[in-house]
Amino acid sequence: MITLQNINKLYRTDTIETTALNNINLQVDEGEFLSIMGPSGCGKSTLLNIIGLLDEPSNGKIEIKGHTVSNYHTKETAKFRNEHLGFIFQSFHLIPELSVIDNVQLPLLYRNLSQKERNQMASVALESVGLNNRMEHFPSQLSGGQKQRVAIARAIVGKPSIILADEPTGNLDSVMGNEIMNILLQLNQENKTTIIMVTHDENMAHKTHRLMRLYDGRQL
Amino acid sequence: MFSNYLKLALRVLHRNKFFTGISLFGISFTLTILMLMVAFLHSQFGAKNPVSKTDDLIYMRHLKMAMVQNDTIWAKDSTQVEGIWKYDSTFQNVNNNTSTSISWYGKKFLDSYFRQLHSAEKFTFIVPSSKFNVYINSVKLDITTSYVDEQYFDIFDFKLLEGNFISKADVDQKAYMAVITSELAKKYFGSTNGIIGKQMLVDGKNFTVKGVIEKAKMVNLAINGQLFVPSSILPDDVYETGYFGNYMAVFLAKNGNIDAVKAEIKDIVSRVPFLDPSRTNGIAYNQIEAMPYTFQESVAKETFYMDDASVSLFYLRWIVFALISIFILVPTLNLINLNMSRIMDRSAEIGVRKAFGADSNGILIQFIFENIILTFIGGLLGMIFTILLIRLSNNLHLLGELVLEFDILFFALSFFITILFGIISGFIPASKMAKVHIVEALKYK
Repeated sequence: MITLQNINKLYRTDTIETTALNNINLQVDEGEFLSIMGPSGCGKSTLLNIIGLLDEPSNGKIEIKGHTVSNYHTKETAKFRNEHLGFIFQSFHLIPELSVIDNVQLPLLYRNLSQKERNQMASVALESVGLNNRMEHFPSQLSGGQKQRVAIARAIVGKPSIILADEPTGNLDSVMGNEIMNILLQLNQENKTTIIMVTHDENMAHKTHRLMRLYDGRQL
Repeated sequence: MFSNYLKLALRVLHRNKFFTGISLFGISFTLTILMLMVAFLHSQFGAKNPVSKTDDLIYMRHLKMAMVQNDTIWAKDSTQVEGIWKYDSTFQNVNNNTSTSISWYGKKFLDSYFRQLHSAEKFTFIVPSSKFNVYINSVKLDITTSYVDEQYFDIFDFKLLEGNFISKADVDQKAYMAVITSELAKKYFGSTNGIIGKQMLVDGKNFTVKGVIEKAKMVNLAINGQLFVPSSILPDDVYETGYFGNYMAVFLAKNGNIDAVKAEIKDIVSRVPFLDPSRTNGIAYNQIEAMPYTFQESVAKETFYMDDASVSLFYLRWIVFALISIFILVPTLNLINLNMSRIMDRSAEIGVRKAFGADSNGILIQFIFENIILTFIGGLLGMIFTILLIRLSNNLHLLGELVLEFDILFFALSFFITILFGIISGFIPASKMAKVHIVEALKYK
């Protein structure tokens, strides 16, 4: 489903060249739950960003669902992300001025859908994370765990086949972290959603199908 | 999508109250100042009753006479050459020994030289704005009187509310007839109705009210009277010294050709003989200059005191243009600055939107839309402030005779300009942030 071939990522300044990713090759199957681990600065988030088309590799080829997306232009990647990918961030990144339901609807704004359809889809997504009683609340009125559940609802509302989660439990205590992890596992099992998750937590990583370790930009 | 943007825009504005307050103040204040300036220019210089022919009128208010004498300045140099003193002298011719007098025109002077202008369709000689005190029921009333001829009301199209204007017969018969403004009628008679034919005692003379007019709503000496009576009732030589007197002249140019009127006046004046010094308090004037200006030129000339009225007008127009530009530019730059920091605060939102499928154009449109909403609200506030200030100015007579008018057409234009600067001030920061890389944008907390 996802194939990365010889992915390199270099950061250049006037004087220094830093290698963030060094010749990464990765194959992720449909319905797989992959976790990526490694010390801080090893390139985990960079790799996740490249898979999620949020960042471009310096060289290498990315293929997702049979599309060579590394050749896509900006508009094409935006459309591809909207249709096929969902994102969960460590710091939730909810829009504070928007209610829970409006936050969840956000990916649908970039599709040709009516307000009614958007509301319906957002309600279903919120129901699946157990927050249908908090639709009109604002992010500031929610706990950390609830915020992340809203973020998950936002990630799944457009029914993407791939979810990319960057330390989704990183800002939560263990109880809430487990709660979020269970939702992700359930998504993976019931909907066959492919999930790639960056984490620092060995326990969480061991709950996934496969663990990939990175060190200094290299695959171990 | 736009309903979502609108919802978000209103919530963002509500959340950042300080930013919103500052921005709205800047926008509404700018628009208010801009509209007041234009209301002032439109009301004071626009073509409307009683000067609907303003572009075709030449005012001759002042006559300038000068005595210019050549003088010689001698300079003597001395130096020692081989121990012997040598002398040298130089001289310079100058013509700065000048005595200048500026005053109103004498009736005879105007009658002699300016009754036959080929380039003028009509003309009027006026003694404007003489003040008289009248006591009505022990209350003092200041009455500004203008002495006019029969063509005055042809040139200045006052709105006649009742009766008639001063006629040729009134002027020929030296009739004590008066045309008064409705404002004076209310003060003097307590009403504007049924006063035609009634008597008014002003300056010890009884005038019969012949007509009631609406007063002029702009500041212009030629039209700011309250009581208009035939100039023929004045003695012919009233206050006259040589060519000077108490009159001004106004010419209506044929086919709007004001340059021809100016040229003809200049030509006539060049042929006017100089007066014997015995008639001018011993001063041998040897230069005469009439000063025929349009209304705008005369205002500009009084502002800058420059010799050339058209240059003064040029400067005045540029200053007005520069002021208007500054009033638009400064708040725009401020708003750009404010927007920049505000949009930076929303960097993570931009990152998230892009991650979920928004492209740069979508982001750009969203932020510009928000700015348009902000400027729209500011524009509405500006309109309300302008209307209130115009009413205040008119009710309290803050600008004297000038009555400011709210011009809806100009307001529409101002509103358009405001929205435009909303777009511009939103566009620069929004386009900058729309281009920010998603990963960078998401790093902001």
